[in-house]
Amino acid sequence: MEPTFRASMNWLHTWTGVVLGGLLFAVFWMGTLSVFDREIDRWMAPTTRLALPDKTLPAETFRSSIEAAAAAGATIWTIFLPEERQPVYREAYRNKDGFVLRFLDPVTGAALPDPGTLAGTRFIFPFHYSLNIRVWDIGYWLVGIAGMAMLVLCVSGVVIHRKIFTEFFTFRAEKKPRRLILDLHNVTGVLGLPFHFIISLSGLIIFFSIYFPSVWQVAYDGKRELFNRETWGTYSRPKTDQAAPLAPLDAMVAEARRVWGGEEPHYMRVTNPGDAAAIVQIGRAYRDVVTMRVDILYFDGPSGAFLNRFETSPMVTVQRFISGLHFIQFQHWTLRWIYFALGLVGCVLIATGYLFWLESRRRKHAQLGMRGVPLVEGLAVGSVTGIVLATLGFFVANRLLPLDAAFLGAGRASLEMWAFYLVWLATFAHAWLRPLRAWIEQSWMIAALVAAAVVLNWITTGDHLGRSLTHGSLGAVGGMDLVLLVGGLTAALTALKLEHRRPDAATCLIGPTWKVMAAMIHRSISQCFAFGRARRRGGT
Amino acid sequence: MLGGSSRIVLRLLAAIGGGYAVASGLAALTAVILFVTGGLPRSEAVILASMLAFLFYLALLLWAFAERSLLRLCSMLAVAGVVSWGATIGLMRLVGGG
Repeated sequence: MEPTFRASMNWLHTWTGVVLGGLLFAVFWMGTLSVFDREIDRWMAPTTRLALPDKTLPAETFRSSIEAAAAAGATIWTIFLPEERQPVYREAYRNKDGFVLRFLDPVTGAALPDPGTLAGTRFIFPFHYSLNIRVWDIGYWLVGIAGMAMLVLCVSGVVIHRKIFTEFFTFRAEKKPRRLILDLHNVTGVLGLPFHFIISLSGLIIFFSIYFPSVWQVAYDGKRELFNRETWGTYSRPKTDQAAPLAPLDAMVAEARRVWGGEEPHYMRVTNPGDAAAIVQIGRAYRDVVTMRVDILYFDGPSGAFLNRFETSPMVTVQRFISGLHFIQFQHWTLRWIYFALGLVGCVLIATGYLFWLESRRRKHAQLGMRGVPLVEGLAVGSVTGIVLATLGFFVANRLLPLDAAFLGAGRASLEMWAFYLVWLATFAHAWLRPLRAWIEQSWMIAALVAAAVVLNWITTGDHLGRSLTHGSLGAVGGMDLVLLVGGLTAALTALKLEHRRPDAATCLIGPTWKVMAAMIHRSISQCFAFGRARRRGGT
Repeated sequence: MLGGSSRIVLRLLAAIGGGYAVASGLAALTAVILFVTGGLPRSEAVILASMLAFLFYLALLLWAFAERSLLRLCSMLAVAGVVSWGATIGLMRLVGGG
């Protein structure tokens, strides 16, 4: 639409970023936290800070739970086995009163008290892919728009830059803030480019059946069940309404282990429990592979006879591999931290994009009396420091509310969510009301809430850093406290720096270090290139 | 004929809405061709085409903002939409409605 392709891409990059940057930051921030969602669970639900025992419980332990669920009208009952990052059994079913999820002690199998929090796996993680808006899948679609926007931003961002390789090693900290911000935007953009492209594309591909429903609808003539059966192996049969007890469960688990060459199950599911048409389904774990494989064994409930094994076909396995790249459900701590770091790099990328837009227009908009900069600045503050504050508000509320808290009919878990949304709203209001001080004050607030969260965790659970870092089973808690403290310190330093901002202030800290590093890397790489050119010339 | 802002709105509609319609049409056509010709089982054809759909959409979005003529953009999207969806539905009729 502009005279040149690059100018068009520049326009597209600018406006996609300004309009969707806030949404994109929310998705990136929550996704980054979701990398450690189960560690957040341990921090927020102290009753589940347990050590993982060496032995799993016999499946028979859960027979009474299955029978109780059947009596309560559940048609599907599932139990997920504990693992290193989640050392409790999770029992899930839906009865007449709604969805039931309970955590069970890994040693005794007894139900643990309701932790009264949705924590990482049930608030932060679903926020990442659905914004917790379930009505008509609106949340999924908004996140899908953000994902497509990120792909557009990645490609258009590359097109805009002529010297992408050089820019990777360019960080002119001594220049004006605008130049510095752009350099930081370019460095994080280029550094994270492969990760950001793949993570956005894989995130979209996970929900292909929501985003491009017409493909399976056309090919299967709208028959969803048939599509699910052929693709994912979902299998069910109608109830007979004749009561029948389940055959010994451990024999089925043993058979599953034998088929998988000794590998452990990930979950056990009973469909139509208590009925003569009951099916026991056992799914294989995927802790040691990237692919979130679907390898399911079906047994006849009353007789315990082996019915069927389902494994995904090659192309579906590719989809499961791409999903696995995104979900990182495999056990690999180094990679987990790299995902976390690259997620934060993405957050910096989006935030600096906003800042660059603001800094390049600030003077002009002020002269012409335009409202764009104040509006976008409020949006940027609320989207960046605001969501960080809201998350911290969620953590602090978690440690402050008593277990039996209830207000206006909302239970404890809902009150925590209210804390999140109210703090978030307040940060937007604050940003628009105090535009000159918003970044600084919200940075100070982040530091303050971090301190509160860490101290409250100590007071309410006794797990201070000295204890959590020396007890193996509390590693997640100690890790979360440490990450919080590093984040709080960064926020405090940022606030200090902004308070005493001088034109050359930014050079003090990062400038010299980065310059030396960049110069060294740049020199060695240009030597390699010079060497390559010399060899090629020598050869011809 | 059209003012600057209505041209932008029209382009946004063509890019986001039209691009989506064409991308899903192309993906549906890919799936149907793959399984009608026996290249892949039906579920695999659907998955492959659905994954490609995101790349089709990405390419269409970028092109929609690079193409200088709004008229050409809209007419090409319309033609591509009609052809891909027409061929998809035609092929499905041919093999007996799936």
